[in-house]
This record gives sequence, C-alpha cells and structure tokens, in this order.
Amino acid sequence: MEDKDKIKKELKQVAPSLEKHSGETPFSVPGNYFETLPQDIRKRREQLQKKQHTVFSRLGIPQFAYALTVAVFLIFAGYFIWQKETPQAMNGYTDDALFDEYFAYYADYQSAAYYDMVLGETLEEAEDEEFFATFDNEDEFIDYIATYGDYYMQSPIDVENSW
Amino acid sequence: MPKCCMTNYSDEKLLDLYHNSGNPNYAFDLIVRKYQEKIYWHLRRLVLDHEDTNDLIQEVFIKAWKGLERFRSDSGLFTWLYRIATNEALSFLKRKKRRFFLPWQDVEESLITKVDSNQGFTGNEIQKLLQKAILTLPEKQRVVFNMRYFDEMKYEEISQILETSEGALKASYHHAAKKIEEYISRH
Repeated sequence: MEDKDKIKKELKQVAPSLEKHSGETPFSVPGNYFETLPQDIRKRREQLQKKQHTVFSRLGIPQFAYALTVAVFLIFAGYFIWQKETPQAMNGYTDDALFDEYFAYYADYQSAAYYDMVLGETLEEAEDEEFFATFDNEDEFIDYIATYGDYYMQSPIDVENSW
Repeated sequence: MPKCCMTNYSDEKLLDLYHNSGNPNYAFDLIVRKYQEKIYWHLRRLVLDHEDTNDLIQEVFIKAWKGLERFRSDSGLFTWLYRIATNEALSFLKRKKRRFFLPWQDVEESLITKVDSNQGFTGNEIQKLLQKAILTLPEKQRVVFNMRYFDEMKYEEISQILETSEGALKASYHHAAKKIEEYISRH
C-alpha cells in the first residue's frame, strides 16, 4: 500500500473536494460474514473435489477394462474391414491390375471393331461420289462420322454382337 | 498457533505450506483468511450488492484453488488474487448486461438504484453521491479509481494487476477524479 499522505497530496492537486472521503467504504456486511466465508469456500471446494473424484472413479479399473475391450473389438473390426477392401493379390496381379489389363484389351478390341465397321462403311460410302457430294466440306464429313460413331459408342457391347 | 495469527504469514510462507506441508487444503484456508476482506471490498465496490459479491468471492477463491498448483510466485499472490477478482467482477457485469439485454448504461442505472435504496449502504449523502459518481465512469476507470482511492494502492501494484503502464493508470486516475468532482459539484 502507498503512503496515505502521498495519495492525499495527489488528490489535493487533482480533485481537492474528494480528499476528505478517501479510504472510506460506505457499505455494510452481515455479522460474522468473514468468520463463515472460509467455511463456505471450503464446502464448495470439497464438493468440487468430490465431483472430480467421481469423474476419476468412472475411469476406474472395471470401467477401464470394459472400455479397453470395446476398443480392441473396434480395432479388430476395423482391421478386417480394411483387409476386405484392400485389393487382393492373385497370381502376382492385384484386382486393380487385372481389371486394368482386361479393360485395356476390351477397349482395344472395341476400338478395332468400331473403326472397322464405322470407317469401313464410311469409306465405302465415301467411294460413292453422290454420297460424298452431300457434304459441303471436310468438317461436315467429320461431324457425320462423329454422329455415327456416337451411335455405336453408346452401347459398345452391341458392336461385338453385331458381327 | 491459532489461525488468526497464521494469517500474518508472508505469501512465500503460505505458498511453501501449500506445496510442502502435505496439507494444501489447510494452507489454502489460511490464504483465504488472509485475503478475504481485501478481495471482498474490491468486489463489493464494483458490483455493490452483497449477495453478488458473496457469489463472486467464492468463485474467485475456487478459481485460485484450481490454479494455485500452477501458480508461479513471480507475480505475487496478492497481485494474482486481485487480478482474478477484477476479471471476475468485470465478467459478471458484462454477463448481467447480456442477460437482461440491457445497454451498459442501464446496468449502471440499476446499480445507482441499489445505492439509493440504502440496502447495505451505511454512508452519508455525500458518500452516496460519490458512489453514484463512480458508477458514471467507464469500467476500467472505475477499477483504477477504486484501487487508488479506497485501497490506497501504489500505481506499481495496480500496474501489475491490470497489466497496464503506470503512466496510463495515472492519467486514468486523474481523469476519473476530475470527472467525479465535477459530477458532485453539479448535483
């Protein structure tokens, strides 16, 4: 605490009329309040400690064992699900690799069939001067092939069956 | 040694008891007994109502008890408790403002009404006017004014509690004192 005289001197310079009341607090407290307050605080503290103890006891051994069992079960379940979803190796190839190879082969086959059929027919038609004359320019001819191509590419499996 | 005399222990001694006596609850009781009155009056001057102050002081000491384990003694126990108390009081006033959807001015009005109703007020008319004038100050200025005017604290101590420079506190206190004097002369 500061020297009272120093504070009064400062107040005298700044606001002289306040000087005479400094240090007085004009409020009352109930009788024995400061005797009972430490006990009230102690009670609240003990309640809080009890509450904390209860929270920790919930994490006691039997409950902890139960939680551990559930956690182990979840880990195993997760592992098996992960195993199931992971691509399996077969004759040195994974499912993905086999699929990619099959798809590439099938796509090649489809493309060959498509070009044979579409371009073959188109070229035959192209030999027909009358047919070729229906196109004003090369772009229209390409559009025609693209449209024709779409027809086959929408259902590529039909290309195979159409042979 | 009776408890009354143990409250004269220095902060270092009390902290040593708390950490090393094997009975921290007892040491904490001594800390409460040593500082309860100072903290009570600091809070009471800010919130005015005894019941509110009673709730707040319990909250302050519960928070102190929770944090004492981690408390670093370099800031001083007294400074630390005062800082918790100041923050609690200001938060309380802010909560009150939000709860009732009232602008800050209306919370001040309700506090002025409390002074007028004389509940727990023992001062004369001039002191009543002084309390009303203090309530017109912004919250930080109120805290600074109360600490200097009523608690007679050094600027250095207030600076540590509020973490504000001594120069700014001096300016704040002088400004507050002038405003209060003006208010009293007008009424």
